[in-house]
Amino acid sequence: MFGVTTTTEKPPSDCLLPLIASGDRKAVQACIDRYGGLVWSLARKFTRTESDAEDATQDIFLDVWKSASRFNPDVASETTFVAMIARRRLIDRRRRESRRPQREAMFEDTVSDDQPDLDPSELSDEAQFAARELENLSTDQQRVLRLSIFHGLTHEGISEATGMPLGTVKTHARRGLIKLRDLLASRQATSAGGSGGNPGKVRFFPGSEVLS
Amino acid sequence: MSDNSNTHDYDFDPTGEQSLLIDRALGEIEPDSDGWREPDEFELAAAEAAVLYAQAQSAPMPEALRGKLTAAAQGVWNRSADSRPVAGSINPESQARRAREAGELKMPPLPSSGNAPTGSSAVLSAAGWLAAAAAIAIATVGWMRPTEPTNDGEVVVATQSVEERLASLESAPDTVSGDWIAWPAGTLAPDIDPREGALDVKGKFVWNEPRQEGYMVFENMPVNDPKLEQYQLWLVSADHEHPIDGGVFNIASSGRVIVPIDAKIRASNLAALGVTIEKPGGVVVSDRTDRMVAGLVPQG
Repeated sequence: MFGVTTTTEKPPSDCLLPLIASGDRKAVQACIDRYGGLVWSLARKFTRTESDAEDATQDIFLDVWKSASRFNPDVASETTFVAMIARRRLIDRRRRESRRPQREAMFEDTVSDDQPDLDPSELSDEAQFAARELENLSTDQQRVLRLSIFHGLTHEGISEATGMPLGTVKTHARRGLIKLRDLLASRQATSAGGSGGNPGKVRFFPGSEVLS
Repeated sequence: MSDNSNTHDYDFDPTGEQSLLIDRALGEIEPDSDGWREPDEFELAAAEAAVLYAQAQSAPMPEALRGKLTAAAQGVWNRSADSRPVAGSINPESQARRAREAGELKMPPLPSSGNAPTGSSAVLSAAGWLAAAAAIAIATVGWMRPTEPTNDGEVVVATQSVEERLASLESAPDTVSGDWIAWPAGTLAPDIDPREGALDVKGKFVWNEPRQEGYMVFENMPVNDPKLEQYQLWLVSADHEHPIDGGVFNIASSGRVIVPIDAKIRASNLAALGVTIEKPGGVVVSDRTDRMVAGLVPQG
């Protein structure tokens, strides 16, 4: 389990990206330590070989460092920001990879559709709460979103892997993500309202905020 | 994951705008712009879910990779004159002055942090280098006497041992090599008639991907003043969004110079190489505005 900021409230002073943007060398190493597991886990799922995952991880961190000044804690948590950049880079790589001949997969668990991803016993209390929000989605929506968001499959790839018609995959993906957004937002709005938080700012996970 | 077959689906369809945002968030469509874009709520929701999935199935990052990242981070700082990982810039007047004085080399744009290419644009960026390189006839390089080493610790010029390593690498399996090309400032390479526009900056590169080792050989490269500017090498990889920093170097005297390629991260599927002139210490991301030489890497 990597140490990420989704599970605990992090005041801005704990954020590393502003420090990196201001030239703090130690923050760069701390960034690797804090988010290395997250980035590596995502890269490993999205890519076909360990070498590709390493390349992707390096690309992602370079982009994170270069984009550090763009991080806004009022919009998203630092963890979400890093994950967002990681997904962008991984999706870009997937596009490039799709234009090249496919290489043999080395990661046996690259796509394990029937393998449960979320084991509550492995999650913190806050993450378990968020995981329950995901479980409010239908089974098919969960399946499609997991294959898309975590395994990096395209809708077409999900259709091939699951046998669902492509249109059904798109419908599950779209409705599922809307529902997930709304569930997380409403939960956080309730939480923020109960604690006197700003109702105009919706927090997904502790330490993470998005504007509603 | 529990079976929630009884859970009610949303019984509405997303609007057209929502569909586009969701498709973009899930990587089904490419973004409108290559530049930075603020994340929307769907992209953030997907990112949050990704964090959750990753947390549940996390895997420790290999120590070797951690070491590479640490080295890359060091490279970022060592080559950032102001100790910040942001794109450097060159004073336009300084650029113009140098162009007038040297009449020299111009490069096609490298991506900057404010307008980073993604997806196909990165390929196009590399393709631009390649097209530029391919558009110019390759001159046969004559060999000249090595220059003396500079004293800034970053440049290795032609010593016997470097010559030997270069020769050894050239004969190694998987080594690719090619000649440098150069074109005048302010002129797009495809417009150049190589018989008329070729500059007298010549050389070659040698690169071995499995060994991640390579050298550049220059001839007649203009001498730089390290206090004002330095040369910086870039490796254009088909697997990376941005050109990879290949190290900063100086040219102390014209003639034959050998510079080791010092890729800050693993460079795979190399498409081209380029050299820019940057502020002392180099930059993390080139603003693409200054002169260059470029080599075309043969594709196997």
